[in-house]
Amino acid sequence: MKQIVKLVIKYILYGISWGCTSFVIMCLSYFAWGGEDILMQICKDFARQALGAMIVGIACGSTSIIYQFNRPSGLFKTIIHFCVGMGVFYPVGVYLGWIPFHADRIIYTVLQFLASCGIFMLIWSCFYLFNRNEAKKINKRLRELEHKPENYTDER
Amino acid sequence: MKVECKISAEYKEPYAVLHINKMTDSVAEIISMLEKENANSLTLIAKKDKNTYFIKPEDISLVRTEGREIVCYDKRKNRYILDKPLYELENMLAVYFVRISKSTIVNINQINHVEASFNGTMGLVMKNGVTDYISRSFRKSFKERLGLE
Repeated sequence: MKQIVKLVIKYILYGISWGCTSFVIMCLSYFAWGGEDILMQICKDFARQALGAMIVGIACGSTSIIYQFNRPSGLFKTIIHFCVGMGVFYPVGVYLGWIPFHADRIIYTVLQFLASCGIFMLIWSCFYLFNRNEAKKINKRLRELEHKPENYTDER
Repeated sequence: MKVECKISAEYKEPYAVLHINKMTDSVAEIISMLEKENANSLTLIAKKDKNTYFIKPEDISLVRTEGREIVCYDKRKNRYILDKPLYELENMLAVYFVRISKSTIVNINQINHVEASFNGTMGLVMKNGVTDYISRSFRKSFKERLGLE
């Protein structure tokens, strides 16, 4: 139980740091792109914006804790992570003005939502490619060890 | 490598401790040689269909928790029930086995391949077809054991 509490705290802090880092990078990008004027608009509403970034960080980053548990299955874990992440990111994004929302032009909202899903999928693809590369290295090493059976006492 | 050897009547069994910062082929070979004698004499008592079997560690493919039972699968995918806790088995089978998640230890020589997955874990397929996964928290130690880190 103690270990689970420690793990939850670790992942919450991980999510907050992920959200805050993303927020700072976004602010720097706005500054580089539009100068101080755009940055000042964010600074006027700093508390809400920073809090929003932390909440999204927890929803998207901390929920990856689900992969530490045996159940449910891998696909179901991904679906839960995706739904929680998007379910929090999109309303917070609209509320804080990160994502423009026009009730009379719903098609733009749908397109923005699809774009957000695309970004989510892109991030997951990066993780997949990283894992695939890791798997290749491990498989290569396993084949090497097969040719050196004396390394691990197996009498085949 | 510096070698220190203590000879005393107080040691009932030979016991070696290696201080290393990385698992290499030569170190794995030394460990294998040191433990070969004891490991060869080690057998596990396992149950299947009310019968009791004596299984050699090298014949076991994977040991894991399934519900409330500790079970092992042999090379032919036969499933046996063991009566020792997983952490104890992990210590006993340290020569052959590596932990890949909170609930599973696997025989390194019986791993067929690993597969990437989208969710951060890594799928693992044994030579007998049994599948499991390497959790993120055990991936580093797994790679270290293979001499990859």
